[in-house]
Parts: sequence; structure tokens; C-alpha cells
Amino acid sequence: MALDHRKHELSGGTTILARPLNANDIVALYAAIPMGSLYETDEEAGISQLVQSVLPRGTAQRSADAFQDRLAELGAELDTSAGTDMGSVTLKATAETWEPAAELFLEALTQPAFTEDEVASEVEQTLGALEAREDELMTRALDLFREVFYGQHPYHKPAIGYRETVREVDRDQVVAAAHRFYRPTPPVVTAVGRFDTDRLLSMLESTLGPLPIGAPPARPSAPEPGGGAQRIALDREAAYLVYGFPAPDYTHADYPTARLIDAVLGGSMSSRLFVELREKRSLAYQVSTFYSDRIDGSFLAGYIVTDPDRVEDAARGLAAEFDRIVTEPIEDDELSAAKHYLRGRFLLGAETNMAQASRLAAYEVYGLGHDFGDRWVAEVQSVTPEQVRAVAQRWLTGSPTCAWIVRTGTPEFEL
Amino acid sequence: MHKRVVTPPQLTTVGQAGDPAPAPFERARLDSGARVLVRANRAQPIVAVDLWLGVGAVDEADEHIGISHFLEHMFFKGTERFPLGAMDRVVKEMGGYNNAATSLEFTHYFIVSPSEYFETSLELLTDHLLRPTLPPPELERERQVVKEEIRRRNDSPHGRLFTRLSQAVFGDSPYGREVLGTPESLDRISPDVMRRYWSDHYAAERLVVAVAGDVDPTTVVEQVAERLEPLRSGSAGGAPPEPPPPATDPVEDTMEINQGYLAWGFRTAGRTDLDELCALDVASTILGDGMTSRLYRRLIDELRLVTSVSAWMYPLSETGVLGIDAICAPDKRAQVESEITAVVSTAIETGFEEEEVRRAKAMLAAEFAYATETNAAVTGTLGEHEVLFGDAGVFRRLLEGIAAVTTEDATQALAERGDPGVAVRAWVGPDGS
Repeated sequence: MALDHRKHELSGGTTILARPLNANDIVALYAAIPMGSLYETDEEAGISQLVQSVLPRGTAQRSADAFQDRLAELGAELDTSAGTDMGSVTLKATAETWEPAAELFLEALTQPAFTEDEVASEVEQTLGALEAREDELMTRALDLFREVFYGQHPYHKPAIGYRETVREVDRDQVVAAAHRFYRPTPPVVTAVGRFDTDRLLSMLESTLGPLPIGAPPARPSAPEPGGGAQRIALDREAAYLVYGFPAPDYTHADYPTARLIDAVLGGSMSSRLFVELREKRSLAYQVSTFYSDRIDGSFLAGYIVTDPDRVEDAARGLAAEFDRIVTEPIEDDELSAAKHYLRGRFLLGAETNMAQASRLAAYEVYGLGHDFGDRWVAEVQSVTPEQVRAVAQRWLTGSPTCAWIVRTGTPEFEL
Repeated sequence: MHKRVVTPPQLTTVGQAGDPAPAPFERARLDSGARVLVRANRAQPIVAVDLWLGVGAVDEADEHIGISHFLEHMFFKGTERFPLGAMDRVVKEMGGYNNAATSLEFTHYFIVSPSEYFETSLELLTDHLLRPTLPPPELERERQVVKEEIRRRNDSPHGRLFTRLSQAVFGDSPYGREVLGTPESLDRISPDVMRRYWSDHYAAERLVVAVAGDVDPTTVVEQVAERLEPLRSGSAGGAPPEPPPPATDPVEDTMEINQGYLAWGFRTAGRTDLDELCALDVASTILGDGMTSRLYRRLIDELRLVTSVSAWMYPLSETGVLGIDAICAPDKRAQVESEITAVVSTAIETGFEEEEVRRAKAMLAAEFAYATETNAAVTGTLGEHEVLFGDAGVFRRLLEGIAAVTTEDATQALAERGDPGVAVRAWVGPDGS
């Protein structure tokens, strides 16, 4: 499904993609900013996320309370995030209130106050969230996986940062980081829903237009993952295993085939991991795959939450399924089902206005072209069983990365 | 196949153009008593088909707690026409996704797919509803999978907290049950027990079929009627007896974690009193929904005492819970509880302000609108309201009810239900906390 839209450029260089739709009464705005753990040193881990979370806590015009009260009055939702290499500021509003809500969205983007008090409060809250994050072990297992997989590369850090780095952050650092990432305005803003395009463009031009987008931050070189294994021992009821390999990035010729491999291994309740490890062997309730796809440093991992007494079986089971797709040819039926699955999920994945706005923004920021999704989904349809095996052999035969959270005293084992 | 002459089901339109979505929608009652709800939405070629059953943990016998949820897992184990694994394969081939959920009061099964596969989705779901094979060897395997699900839930501090809270609020009443059951109760469920539970409960009176997306309502209702022709009648479930008085002492649990997780619960009138429900929706929004809420401003902005805090409503048939929960450093527990007490007591004593009531109403209306953007969310809203309230259109009454709440209504409802002195308390903290 092509996401038809109009493309505009503001005088300062910001690219606007506008997709007016009358399917519902919702308006979604999405500002994309290159930021996140890729652009942070280890010493400042978490600074992108702090910038983003303090951003909607007050502007030059309004206190944090007044800003949030006004959003609530309008029934609008403003969210911010920062991940590995991109951050976002998003707004969801109704067709009735989108204009005053968009004013708040633009106010936060152009005049955030970053007061000392709000920064200190957010630091405190983030420190608490870091403690709570460790309590949820699936998250902790994925964090551990990234640490092992990326080694020294900036991607190894959790976007939320570490206790030691977050604790030290003050207002000056947040302001400096905001300037560095926003330089001073987002390069891409997308809009999807029931709005008047001319009105939207004139609002954007008068606020963001005078601000230059600045030079993009230098992108550190791509990671070169080497595999490895680490475990954390805890006295908890369940064990958590993550097992994975490097995988093709968006622009790699192997990407469409790798998405198929992911769909075969972990997509849906008829995937190999689900059928073999859950349905046939009752090793888990939760078992699937995770394709962290991006423009560099992508990985494909399987994960399972299992009985601490059956950890070795579960780990061997995960490894065996990754191995099987390398060594055995895939049947036509299974391949064809995975192709349909990817086509359908791609359609279903853009059902909301915000999902469409986010997709348009990502394609633009990464320079993939607005029809990137349609292109890879089309390429998927002609992949052969031989290509599946060749791509699996290329990517899934090196040293795996293993992250285990197991019960204290679980014997060591080699895969 | 022998075919009876059936009267075409009558469609009634609920609501009209301009009403808040998901109105207007079509409603029909089949001869068997099963109900069908359809919301046409031509925006994208997508359709959601959702079977809702008024069957949940409150309907279970004491010795077989967890059977509703276990049956939900067994539903996917095939029929004669679609042997084990076929449904999941077909759904994958359609490029759709399927899933299910079980609660205290309902079970539902849905498939979301490109709309060209509407008939296949309907056939898959209805065939599994009417003719599940429930094979005994699969029952044994799946019992272990559910035990793994229990393990995962118990290993999450939040999962454990809410189990403890509902036990404390509802005691040994069916409302206090763990939907997943226990390893022991699961072990008592034989293939015969499972089949009997299915045949007693998966009957017309408890069934609602909700469909939303790029479809024609008349055709949908006709096709549903045809597919459900063999559906037997059975009795609708009754509400469980009134639960015993709630626990007076805090319920506490420990595990190897860093933070403390606390929750308070207050009994409410549930769905028997819609005015109270709307007033408490507004009150709980003001107290604990988002950055504008009183609890957020006091406990996070001013005191930096907790990592998160929220207030919420969980209405059941004849009772319900007004809840507050927070995450904090374990040694801050007493201070957090006394600050929550102060915030709630002040609200009761001095009342809410006009402005915050207005804001809360705007937030609730917008949240509802955003929560019905996808077809799956629409069938969820329609099906859940139809099963729980007996009327999918009740969401309009609730939206109107919320719009009509006054500051006095919200304050008084909180005073009646939310006295901190009677809060039922649950805590999950690190070992030794």
C-alpha cells in the first residue's frame, strides 16, 4: 500500500510529508530527529532520552503544568521518544482540536524551557525507572544481548542510559545535547489525518521555517559484531534466553530474504519456534524472534522464557531451529505462507494514522525512499528456496550471541 | 448437507452518522440467540472478526479454576476440517494474525486480515467454536504451556502484584480468582472435564460475533447466521454471589527485585451503577491519569518519591475495583502510602475543581476516540460492551454520562468508595522489605 502524500520543503530546509486522509477524525503529527545511543558517548548514555522526556515539560511561554493542562483540555496526546539512532516527538489530536494542539507541539519543538527543576525531576524519575527496568527480566535479557552483540560500538547502550551516567546529568548538559541533536530544528515532520494541508504548512513555515536544520551529526561507523555469551544468575521463577546473529540492513540485497527467514522462524503461531518449542515440546509460553532492522548493525534473535530446570533444552532448541534453516531446504508451502504473511502484516501494520506518519518519517530520515516498504515487500514475493538457504548460510553460521538469565547454580553448557 | 429454511436475520442500526465511533453500527440477533455486530469501515482493505463469549474465570467450578483460559488455548488445537496447526497456517497465508484472551468474565478469539479473506476468517473461527477436537495428547502438552505462562506471570513484579491485589479485594470469591489457574487446578482438568465445560458454556446466549472493516453488513450477518446454524442454545451465566468482605491486613510478597510495587484497591458498584462508574472514571482520571493528575504532581513533580503512579477503574458485573498503584524505592513505602492518603483525603475533603473535571472529561472522550482507530479495537469495544453490559451501544451512554458528571458527583463518588482508611493494600518488594 503506497502511502500517497505531498512533499514540501520549509525555508529552513525541514522536509514536510503531508498525507491528508478522511478515514477518521484523528490527526497524527510526527517529528523525526537523528539522535539516540548511536550519537552518545558511553559517558553520556541516556542523554537523548532525557532531552526528549524533559522537552514537553514546559516552554518559554508556559510552565510544565500549564503546558500539560492545555494538552489535556484539548484531549491531545504528545509523546516523545529516543531510541538507537532516531528520536521522535508525536502528537495525536482530533480533527476538531488539531490546530491548537499543533501549536503546543511546535512550541515544544522550538521553545522548550528545560528548567533546572524539570531536569532534576526527570533524572530522579529515570533513576527509579532504571531500577524497575532490571526487575522485568525479558527487557534485561535483551539489554544484555545488545551489550554482548555490539561490544564497544555505541549501539551497545540501552537508550535509557545507566545509573552512573544518568545520575550526573544537569540542565547544561541537557541544553547542550538538545542543541546538538535538534541543530536547531527537526529535519523531517510528517502529518497524516483529517487536516487542511495549507493551514498546516503555513503553521509549520511560520514556526519551523525560519530555523535551519543544520548539518546532520556525523554517523559513527557501523558495528562489527563478533558474537559471545554472557549470563546473569538470579533466583527467579523463570529463565530468559536470547540467541541471535547479525542480519542484513534495510539496504542490503539480502534484506527481503532475511525478513522471510524471520517470518519462518518466529512470525505468527505457525512459526517454527512456536510450533517446535511451544506446541510440540511445551518448553515455553513465550517464544519468538526479534528482527532489529535498521540502516546498520541489524540483528535477528530468537528468545524464549522457560522453566529454569529446562534451560539447556530450550537453548539447544533455539539453536537447532536457526541451524535447520541453514542446513535443510525450505518447502514451497512454508515459503509461500511466509511471503503472504509479510505482505499482509505490512498492510495491517499501517492501520493507524500514527503508524503511517511514523513509517513515512523513518523512510525519509534514512533516505530509503517513500516506497521502500512496497519495494521490499514486492521483492520478497520472488525469493526462491535456494536464496533462503544461501542467505541463511551467509548470516546464520557465524558465532552466535547468547544472553541468558538463569537460576543461580544452573550448570554451564556449550551450544 | 441438509439445509433448513431460516428467516433472514433483521439488522438494526445503532446510532447515526456523526455519532462518536464506533457508532453507527449494525446489530442483529439470530434465532439461536447469538448476536452479531458489524461496523463497516471502507478506509482500508482490512477486516477484524472477533468472537466474544460471556465465559470466564467467574463461571468455573472451584476445583477447576483456570479452565476457561485453558480452553482458550485448546480452541487452537484443530477441528476435523482444520487439523492441528491448520488454522495458524491458513492465517499466516492470509497475511493476517490471530489471537485470543480470557478474563474473569469473557473469552474472545479474533483474526485480523486483508478483507478479501473475511469468509475464511469467519469459517476458521466458527468451525473451531462449534467443532473443536480437543485432543487428549494436546491437552497434556498444553497444560505444561499454561504452567509456563503462570511461571512468566509470577516472575513479573506487576503480574504478582495484581494477583495479590485481587485476592485481597475479593478474597475467595470467584472475582478473586487467578484467570490462569494454578498448577494444581490445571492438573485436575481431564479431557472429559474440558469437553463438558466447552459444551456447557460455548452456547448461543453467551456468544457475540463482532466484525469491523471493509465488508457489507447484510452479507456478514447472513454468512454468520449460516455458519452458526448448528450452534446449540444454553443458559447465559449468572453473576457470582457477593464477595466476602475484603482483607483488612496488607497482602505482601517478596522476590529478588530492586523496587517496591504497591497497589491499593477499593470495592465499587461495578456495572450495576453507571452513574457511579462515570463519576469514578472522572475521579480516577483526576487522581491518577497522566502528568496532569494530582498523584503525579504531588508524588513525582513535587516530592520525587515514586517512579510511576496511576489510578484506574476495573468494573465487574456487580462489583469492581477503583485502584491506585505505584513503583517506589522499597524504603519509601510508608511515606508513599501516607502521601497517597493525603492526596485522596484532600480530594474528598475539599472536592475537585471545575477545571480539572472539565479536563478529565476531555481526556476520557479523546482516549475513547483514539482507542477505536483500528478495526480490531472496534470489534474489541463492541464485543466487550455487548458481552459485559448486554448492549454494545452502551458506550454512548457512558460517554454521555461522563460528559454529565459534575464536580460534586466526582467528589461524592470518591468519598463513598475511596476512603483511604478502608483501602485494601498489596505490596511486592525485594526480599526482606
